[in-house]
Amino acid sequence: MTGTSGLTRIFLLDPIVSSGDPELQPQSTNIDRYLYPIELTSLTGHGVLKGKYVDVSDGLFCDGRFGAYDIKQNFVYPYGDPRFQEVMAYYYGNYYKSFVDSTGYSQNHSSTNIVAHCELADNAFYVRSLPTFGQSMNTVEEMVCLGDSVKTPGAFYPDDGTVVMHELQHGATVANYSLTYDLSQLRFDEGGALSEAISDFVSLMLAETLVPDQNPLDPRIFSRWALGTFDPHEKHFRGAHKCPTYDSAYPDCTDYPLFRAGSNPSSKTSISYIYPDGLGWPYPSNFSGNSILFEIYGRFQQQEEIHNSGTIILGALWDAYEAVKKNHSSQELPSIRIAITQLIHEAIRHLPFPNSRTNRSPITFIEFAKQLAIYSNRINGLTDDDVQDIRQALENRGLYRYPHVPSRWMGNGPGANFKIPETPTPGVFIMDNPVVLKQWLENMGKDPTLISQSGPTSLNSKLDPGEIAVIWFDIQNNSEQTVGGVLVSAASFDDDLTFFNNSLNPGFLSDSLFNEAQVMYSKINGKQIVRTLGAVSQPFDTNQYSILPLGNTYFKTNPFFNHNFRTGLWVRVSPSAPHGKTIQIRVQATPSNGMSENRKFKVVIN
Amino acid sequence: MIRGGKYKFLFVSFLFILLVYEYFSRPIKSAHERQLANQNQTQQVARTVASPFIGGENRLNRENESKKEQEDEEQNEKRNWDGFLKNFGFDFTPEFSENHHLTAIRGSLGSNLPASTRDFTTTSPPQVAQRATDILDAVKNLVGINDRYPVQPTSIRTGPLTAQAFYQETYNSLPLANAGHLKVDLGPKGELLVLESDYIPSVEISNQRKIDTSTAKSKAFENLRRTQAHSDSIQNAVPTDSERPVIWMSGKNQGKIAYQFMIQGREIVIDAENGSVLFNRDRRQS
Repeated sequence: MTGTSGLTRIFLLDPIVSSGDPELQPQSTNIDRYLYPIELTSLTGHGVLKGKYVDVSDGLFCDGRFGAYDIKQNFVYPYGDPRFQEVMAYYYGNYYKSFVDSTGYSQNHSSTNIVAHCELADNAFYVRSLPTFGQSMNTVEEMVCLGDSVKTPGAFYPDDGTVVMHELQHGATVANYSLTYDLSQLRFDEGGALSEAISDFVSLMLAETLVPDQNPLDPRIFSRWALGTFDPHEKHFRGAHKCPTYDSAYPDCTDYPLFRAGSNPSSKTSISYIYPDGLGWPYPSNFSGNSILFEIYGRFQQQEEIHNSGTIILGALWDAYEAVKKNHSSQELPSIRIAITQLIHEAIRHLPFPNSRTNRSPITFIEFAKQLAIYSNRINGLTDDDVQDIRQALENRGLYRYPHVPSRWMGNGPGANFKIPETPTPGVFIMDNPVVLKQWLENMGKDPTLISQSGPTSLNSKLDPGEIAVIWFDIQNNSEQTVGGVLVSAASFDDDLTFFNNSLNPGFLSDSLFNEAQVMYSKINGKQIVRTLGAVSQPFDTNQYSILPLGNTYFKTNPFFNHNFRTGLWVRVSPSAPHGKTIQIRVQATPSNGMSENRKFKVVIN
Repeated sequence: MIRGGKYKFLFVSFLFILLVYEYFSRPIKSAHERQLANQNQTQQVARTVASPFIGGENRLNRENESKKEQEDEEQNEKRNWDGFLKNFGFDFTPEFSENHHLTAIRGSLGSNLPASTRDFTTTSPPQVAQRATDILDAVKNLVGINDRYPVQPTSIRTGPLTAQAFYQETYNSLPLANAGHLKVDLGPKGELLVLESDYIPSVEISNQRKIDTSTAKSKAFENLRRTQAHSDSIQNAVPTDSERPVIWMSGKNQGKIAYQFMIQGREIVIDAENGSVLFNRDRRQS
């Protein structure tokens, strides 16, 4: 073939879908059997994988040049040939971008560079260039990097079409938001989780059009190949169901919106992906034991990680899509997919920007749902029934017409949890261990010599004169309802304790009247969910807790809050700070589903 | 006279209440609060969220300001706001910072006044640009835009339903990178949906440009090598690698002349005077 077309053979979405075998593994032999012949389109006709929408180069070459070349544009390769991954990247990249282009929301971006076999091990990512001042939207360069697996040599991320489309959707998401800002501003925030969820959803929606007829595999599972099989020790796939895989009623999730903690394998466990109580529960089950919830609560450390916490939005979008589909004939489905995609991108356009005075992370799930609801009746192709169904789907997930948390919800927690039974600094956790802090700085690309403290006082979890530390506030939620997307704004009015600027605290407010920095806590349990999940009557193993040690404080909501720096704030204590001095920090907490409130948290200079 | 005096009294009372609110207020609004605000649309200046801890020096300083200056400022603010309402509609909720500067105007789809151009369409960049410029001009004083830090248009985003115009605060022709963004969001008829401003009326530049781009770039690479496991691959440029001189807001109203780099998905900002790393962040979205 010549001109804009080429020939190839690819997996239909991924090897599992292509084979129809849910147990297929990267180590399986003869995976080539599941390749399907297909036509490549939108090529420029130069005999390489360069097209109108994507250009695919190969990271195996030092200069990042094109790999596959054939003047007749015959790009048929066996699975073991590295050029096969280039072709997969081209096909699914072209498929995705031509679809978004048809919706009118592609922002006229030039061709995206996709690098197959890029240097990144065991992952894939999207990135764009900085805008040149005065530059128009369509001249920003974009790149998608699709890595190889290290955990499973011989497995490659381009082999999973959902991953290719997920990464490219990040480009459409940010382009419809801002030329300069990403949705994610703080390290763990709802803006970041939203971006991940939108990428998952659009990828799943398009995947549905690629799956062979009569394929029995669940269309709600995202990346069953790359995230589901590459790590031999854990599964990382995500999904759009109303409950996780360890819910007793999975996949139908008939207990939704209930929560229930089963104490032994024979009793029921129910977790519902409803906002905000459903935040943070992992989708796949990687733990075993008498009580899966205890195992997760006690061992799962990624509760607030953005890919994990986006599950509710992913599910809400899928519910809305499913509901709208039921209102239309199968012939109308292509236009429905376009309408849903237009709605998502239109909603993104109206999300608020961060500012330097009051809010570095203004995007919340609820704000996004509100924009979806507003613009749903302005999108061509969506009927009044569709609009009502979309709003109902959002409401069912707790994101629209949601119950408001009453005022006076905020209090000071004790600063303890089952991992921190006692604390020398009630209400506040202080990480001053120089070894840990230096490691964190290294991970952030900062100079570890910034940390100068040493000796016994550097390990006392207190603030000593001259120390640098990372701190967290144990905000207590006195209401029955859980608060979600809690923007925590901490201000110091004392020169003896200062928050670092944005070199260490991305949420530093450079135009605030005060020394002030922000961070987001994903959720803080309300009393109701604590009673529901904490009231297990049957004992666990003898060496375990007899109840799920949840609590209505931040530290008891996420017992691993301090295992990395992502929700901590970096502070410096003045070398001349007097011993015994009490410093008050004003902490303002602004949940997405309730009112902003203030409390004072006290720290004493040791 | 009696009626005029009564209105004057009411107006002064209103200003006093605003002043008290200001001392005890925080303009952070959750989506929840914004929704409540939208349900109770008001043309009054909105300053919400109680904060009993704000005070200290700023409060004392404010109290020492002459009452006359405050009244003049408030009156100018009200005059400017009234002028905006007259031209663009009355169904808006404004938000002001603690410094009296307008930070947002929130309208809604289908309300307020459309663009005067009869055939206005959100797909026309010139029409969108003109309408956005008109709006921005009307609130210029409220936002605090001044000649020392002029605002420049950066891009126009058109669409089938709505359109957005983006602006950027500058200093000596350099854009502020992490602040100073303005966005004018227009509905189908050119009605203002939202104006957002992160404009900073006064930026103290605390350094000078003493190193060139290539020196700064080598500093950026040096920083990148510290975090990169595969440092050999850093030398291979990728299509998104890019750079630009900027003003980087790094402290309280404090900006630095800097070079902003994107290298292999990592954003690194280098001080243009001493080459130190002001900021770095992994911008890769996985």
